Amino acid sequence: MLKVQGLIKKFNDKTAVDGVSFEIAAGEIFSLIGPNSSGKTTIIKSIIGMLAIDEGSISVDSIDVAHDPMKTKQLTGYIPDEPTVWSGMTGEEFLHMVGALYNVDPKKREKRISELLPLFSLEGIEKDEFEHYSRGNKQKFSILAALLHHPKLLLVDEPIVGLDPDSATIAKRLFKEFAAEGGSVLLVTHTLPVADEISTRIGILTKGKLVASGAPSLLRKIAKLDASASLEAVYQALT
Amino acid sequence: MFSVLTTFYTHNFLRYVARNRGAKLVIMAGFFSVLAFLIFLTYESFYYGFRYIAHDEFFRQALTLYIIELFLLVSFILVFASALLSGVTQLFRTGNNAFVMASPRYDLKPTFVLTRMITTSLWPLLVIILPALFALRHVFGLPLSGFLAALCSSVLLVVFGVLCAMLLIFIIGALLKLLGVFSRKHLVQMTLLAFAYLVGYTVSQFRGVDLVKFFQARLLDVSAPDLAPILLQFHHFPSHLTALSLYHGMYGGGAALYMPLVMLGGITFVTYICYRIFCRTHLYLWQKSEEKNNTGSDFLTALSRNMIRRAKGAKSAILKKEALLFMRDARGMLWLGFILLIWVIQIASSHLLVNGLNSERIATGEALSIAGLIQFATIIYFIALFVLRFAFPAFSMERKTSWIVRMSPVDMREVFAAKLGFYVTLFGAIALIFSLGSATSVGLALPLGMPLVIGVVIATFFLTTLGLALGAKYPNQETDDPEQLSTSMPGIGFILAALMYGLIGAYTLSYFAASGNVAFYTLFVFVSVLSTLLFVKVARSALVSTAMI
Repeated sequence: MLKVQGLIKKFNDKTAVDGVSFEIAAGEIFSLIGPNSSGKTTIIKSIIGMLAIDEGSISVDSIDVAHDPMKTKQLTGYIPDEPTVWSGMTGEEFLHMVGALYNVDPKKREKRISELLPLFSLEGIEKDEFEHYSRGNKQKFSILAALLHHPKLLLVDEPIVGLDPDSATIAKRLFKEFAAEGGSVLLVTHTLPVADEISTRIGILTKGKLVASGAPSLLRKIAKLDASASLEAVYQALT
Repeated sequence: MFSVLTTFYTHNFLRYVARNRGAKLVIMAGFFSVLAFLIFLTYESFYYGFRYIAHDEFFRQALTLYIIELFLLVSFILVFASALLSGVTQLFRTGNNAFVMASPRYDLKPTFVLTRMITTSLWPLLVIILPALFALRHVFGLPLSGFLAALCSSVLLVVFGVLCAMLLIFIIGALLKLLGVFSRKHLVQMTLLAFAYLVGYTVSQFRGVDLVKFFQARLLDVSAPDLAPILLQFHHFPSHLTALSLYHGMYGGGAALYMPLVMLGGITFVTYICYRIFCRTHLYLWQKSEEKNNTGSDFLTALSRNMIRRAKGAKSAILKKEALLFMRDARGMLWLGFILLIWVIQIASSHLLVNGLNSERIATGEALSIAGLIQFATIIYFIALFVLRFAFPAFSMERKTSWIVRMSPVDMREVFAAKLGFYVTLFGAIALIFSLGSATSVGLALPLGMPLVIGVVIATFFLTTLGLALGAKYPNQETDDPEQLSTSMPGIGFILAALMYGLIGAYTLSYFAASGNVAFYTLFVFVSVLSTLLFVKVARSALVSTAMI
């Protein structure tokens, strides 16, 4: 579903992402973990088409992001780490807005929104304006917005930040269900237990380079740790 | 605490200058150049205006006094209205001052807002007052003592205006609290109502004034008009005391020069004491404002409720989003209402002036050309203000929310088209209504009224496209505050371009009115249309190239 090959992204003289390659198949959840400024968000923004890459290639469902960004964006859902939305807009209007941007018909949007709101028990607050929402509720609406147009690939930047424990559990379940239904998820996070719990494969990034990648069990072997070692220990050994 | 806040804002400014120092210095140089140009323009206008009046022995004193009274009254209303507008939004907004309200010195917040409002109201007035005083000094020989007394009085008038506005807000807040119905929404509504009443009262004082009788222009047996009607007309406005200081500075002196100044100082002091008493309610009012409540208009909220729900496709969604957010932006709507009110006052003044002259109205080609020139320049000025406040920052204000559109399968050219469509429709409608109002108010006949309306509509397209295109090509990454954005380099560029454009347009229209030669005006319209198309092209290609950075 997603293929990243030799991705290089520079900001002036600084190389943020240095020759990163990975693939995510349908039904997989791939997590990228790494310290601050290791290039995680840059990779996600390059895939969604918000940043132009300097070298390499990215394709979604075999469509090159650089050549046909409209098509690849239509296939992708994006959950940002900072879910800032127009403060005068209500949660429901935001969902309609995103739906319209993805060309979802108003009637289908209406039906889909009524299906999505109960997932996080957001019924009753959907008509409040965004400025009155807590960070967690803003995050919940941004998760629903990403799922609204039935994407094939989900790009998630720090999914759990701001969510209460119950909502975090719901979010993890949603990502798992999305993958189980044939979708692909790229997850970028600092919350290592989340990555450990839901990922099929994990990639470890440092200084823009992918230093290790594979199933959690494989990473433990690479790090020369036993099977009960935490992902934190693996992360510390490999970075 | 005050020194902490002062240090914070000083450091904020220094941080602003520290990054991209060269560009920032150019911005500041541009800003001061525009300011210097405005000061020069104001001085020249006053100087030549007063010199013209000074030649007329009969009207000299009366007309000077009348102009000073009117000018100070309008300035006072603007200061008062602006403070009222800032007060209802700033007093109860947390912003960067959350730590002040959380500290034991929360009582400093209103004082901080008061100081800020006095400072921000003072400098624009001084930019106008100082050149006017210098013009009076050079034309009428205003002595230094009169100059200084008038300057002190003007400063006091600003302080008094701001204090009155703050006091009014707190009195209304206290009343609403007493009735148990305080909310920010009610406060805004009641404040607007009180302001509308005060404006209505002021306008009612000028309705039905016959300027010919007022200045006793037909009394051939008197050497100069009696000043009593003018003094009587303005005596219940606080600006009258400043006008008296200035007038006595020119024609009198001694105790008469300082008496109005002392009186103004006295009422300012009393107002300050009242303000100190009533501002004790601030904490309660602020706490209630923090509670979730909608400050927008119920009517506009209802009108915009189903807008996005019905949107089909990206372009329609963006257009409706612009309309929805515009209607729900309480701060922007108050600002818009304030500027529209000034515009209405300007049209009403033209109307009163024309009516006041009655049968003395002059209908020569020269008078018509001047009327057309003034009307066109005024309309362009107001439209440029709207564009600078709303359309120009439209892309920069999306700084933190831009991810929503940029992640979506949306062509950025469609985004530009949707935003342009919304602002052109909005400003076009306003310009059309007000240009028809202006043309009617001064009695412009169809042969000139029609080209004025056409010119205004074309100019609205031109200015809106220019503002939006500049904002799209040079988006600001440092702030999304529309007021700050308008003082950025592209903002200043827009102000200069709009000034030049307005002057050229007004000149070609007045030339057409005076000579009947339509060639220059047609050329102006033609170039405007071509330039508009060029701006669209430049902005669209800039947006496509920056869609992925």
